[in-house]
Amino acid sequence: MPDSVLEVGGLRVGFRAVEAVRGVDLAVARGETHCLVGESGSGKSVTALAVMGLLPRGARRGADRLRFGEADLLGLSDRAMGRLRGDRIGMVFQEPMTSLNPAYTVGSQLTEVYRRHRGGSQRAAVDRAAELLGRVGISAPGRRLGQFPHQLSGGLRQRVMIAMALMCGPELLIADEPTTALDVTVQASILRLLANLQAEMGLALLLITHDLGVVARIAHRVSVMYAGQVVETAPSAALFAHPTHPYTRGLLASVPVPGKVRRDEPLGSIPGTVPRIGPGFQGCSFRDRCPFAMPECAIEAPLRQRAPGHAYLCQLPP
Amino acid sequence: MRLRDLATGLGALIIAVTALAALFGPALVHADPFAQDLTHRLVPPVWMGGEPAHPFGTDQLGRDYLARLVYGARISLLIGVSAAVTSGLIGTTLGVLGGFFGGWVDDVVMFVITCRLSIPLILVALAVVSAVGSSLAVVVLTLGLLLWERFAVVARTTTMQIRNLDYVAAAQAAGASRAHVLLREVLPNIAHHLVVVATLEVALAILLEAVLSFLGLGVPPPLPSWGLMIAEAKDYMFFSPWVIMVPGLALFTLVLGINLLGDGLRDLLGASRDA
Amino acid sequence: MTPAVEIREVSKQFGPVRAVDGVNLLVPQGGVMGIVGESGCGKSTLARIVLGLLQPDAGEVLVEGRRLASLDRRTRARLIQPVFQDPYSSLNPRHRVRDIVALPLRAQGERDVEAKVADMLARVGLDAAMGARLPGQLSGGQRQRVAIARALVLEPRIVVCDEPTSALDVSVQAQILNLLAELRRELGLTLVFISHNLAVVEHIATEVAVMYLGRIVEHAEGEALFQRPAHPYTKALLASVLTPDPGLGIPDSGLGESYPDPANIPPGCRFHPRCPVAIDKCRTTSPDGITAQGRLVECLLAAD
Repeated sequence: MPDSVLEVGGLRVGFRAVEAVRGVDLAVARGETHCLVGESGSGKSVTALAVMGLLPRGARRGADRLRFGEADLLGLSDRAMGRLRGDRIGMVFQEPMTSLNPAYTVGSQLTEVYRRHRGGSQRAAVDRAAELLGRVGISAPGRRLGQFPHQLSGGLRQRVMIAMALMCGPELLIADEPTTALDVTVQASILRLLANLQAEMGLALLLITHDLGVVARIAHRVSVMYAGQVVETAPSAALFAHPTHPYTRGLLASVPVPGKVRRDEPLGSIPGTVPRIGPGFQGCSFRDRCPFAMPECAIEAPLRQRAPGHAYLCQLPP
Repeated sequence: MRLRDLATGLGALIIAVTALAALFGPALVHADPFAQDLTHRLVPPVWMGGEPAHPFGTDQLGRDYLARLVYGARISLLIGVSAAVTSGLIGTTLGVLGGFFGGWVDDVVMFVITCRLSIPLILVALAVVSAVGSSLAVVVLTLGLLLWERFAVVARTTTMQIRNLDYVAAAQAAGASRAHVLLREVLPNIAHHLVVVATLEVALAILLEAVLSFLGLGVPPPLPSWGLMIAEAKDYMFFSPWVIMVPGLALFTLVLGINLLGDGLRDLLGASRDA
Repeated sequence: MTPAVEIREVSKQFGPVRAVDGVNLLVPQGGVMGIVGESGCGKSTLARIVLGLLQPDAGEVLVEGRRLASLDRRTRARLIQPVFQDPYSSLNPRHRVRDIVALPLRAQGERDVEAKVADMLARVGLDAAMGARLPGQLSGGQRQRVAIARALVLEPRIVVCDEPTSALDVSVQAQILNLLAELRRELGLTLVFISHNLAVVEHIATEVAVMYLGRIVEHAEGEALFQRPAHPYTKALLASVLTPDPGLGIPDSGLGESYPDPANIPPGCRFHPRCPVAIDKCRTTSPDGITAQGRLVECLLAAD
């Protein structure tokens, strides 16, 4: 896809006996928010780590295409990847409590990132840090620079993490469950911040989450992952209007929606648990839990198109 | 194989050999460690031109050195393990109680630990020996009653980490008695940390026993404690070097082995905890 | 009818932090009392006090009409049991599943427990073979089922669930919630259900209490609270919930950026610094105990 900041094709990641990611395709364009949705065991976080080159030792990574801008990430050395990370690609993780080093001030952690990639004086780095803290909605940024992480609330810490990811003006921001550990009132403001920054800076945003509410409110495009594969991908409105893959439908049915809740009716749920996929697995990974499973599902789950831009992996016709 | 695994394996091997020597040595080595033969004093070991009858030579009183070494292994391991068990019981009890109950109980425990840290081991040993004389039992008790602080600190810290976990609360809510909570919920989950401390304490006890015996405050002669053998050998160091080298090397090797195994155990048990 | 649980003016402080600050609540028999609130509101502390695991500094808790503090551990265990949030830390990693579920029975002095344990495991949808496994071999959902089995094996009257599904995936959460609802009907349980997830609470609770900085600031029947919230905090909470409706954008709760600190509770109405509709009086006058619109709503504006 032209104009895409990040392009991933056929990504595969394996750890010893488990195939965590099995042929993932996705692309994020400038100014676009692409949400990767899945539950535990879906491989969504591993996908992000694989793109970043942050997989643990012993992991096997392969892909047909792994492109960031004009750089081919597959061939890049660790050092070259290190130059991209924190500079042109920013990352935000789930636990703001543990992502910030408790022994250093907020300011020193922010300026360190900037100076490592851009060099320059401490003064310039401090100014930039203060500017970004202001941009992420932190009042009295000068004072905050001298504070330690434990002096800040969860919401503030996550804003600091976002500021840190943005210090060098990245083109792509990868956020893995950035609001899951936060209170619901704080969550909304963090998401609004991300949306505003995206509009201002033309950021491409790859947001990983299990929360369909977050996805609905912020995503342009959604990819649903299950057992290492993208089982459905579509523009956000299309996915919620016409969920096609049985897993997507099961997932949407499981989410209690305030205002539409019926106390006397059980919630839709998906029986069973996520399988661990070993090498040599064939067919649809969802078949053991799928209400529509057929014998053909044990052989393959073909890629089908429901509409332009809306694809899914299933034997069932759209 | 990784270097760490090799080291751990080496440690385990050393301890195994020592334990076997301690258990079966006296039966296999026919010489009597206490039999003096003044006509065969200071015979060098076989590799230094000695006679096959005394493979490790003899000491200043003509006693077979291999026999003394093997018998001494028994003493070292016996004292090391007994002292570690005694101090383990004392330290773990104090640490768990302080860590679990907090408040004034913890204050008392911390105070007792601080007192213990202020007591100099050698002076106490000296006082005890002058009061009741030296013997194997005295050594074990002295070491056991004075080496428990590491157990206490580790038990206390790990207990404090566990005490707030939900499964402890669930056991309490289920109506379990305090004894059950401490013995069946807390203890099994801190045991792996204590095992590692125990291996280090065994090594320490063995070394300290050697020190005490060297100073004449440990096991009484003619018992062949390695420390005592080193002490007795210092007069002959320059002309009959094996008399000091043999027990010295044995002591060094055993303590090294215990430490290597302890490191390996810590990694092994630590890694499986975090999985 | 005696309420299942009665909380009377309970307070608990940890140093400068007033975790629970004068809470009153009546949980009727057979009901599901939802308690919602964000971090720092004191709901988990309150849960532990109600379970008898923590002693309040002031006030008392009555369970089935009897003073909790006067009950011995065995009687208390037969009346009220917990299901905790984290399925990874609520089961002893060294104990097998069957021993975990048998613990409450053994604590009562019972010896022949196998039959009851097997029955309970089946009831929560677990294979009998699971009994021999260690928690580390189970998934999050399976562990939570074990926790539920343990809580119910004594057939208690009341079960306190502290965020029982928050650590689970959405599809597993649905399974567990359905299971809880079904078992509650079968066994006639009273549930106290603590959660920060408003949609889940709306689904399962008959009454809801909203906690903020250690106090209950609104308490009403479930539907009434969600359809017609009265307290500004409740309104903000409900407004912040992200429903899976694309195109609705991101809601603005209007709460601003300051965060509640239980070590520094504001004077007057404790919510006033963040309240979008606060007036001068809110800074000085306490709204404690105000009832209006047929419910407890600690807000000076609701009283008018």
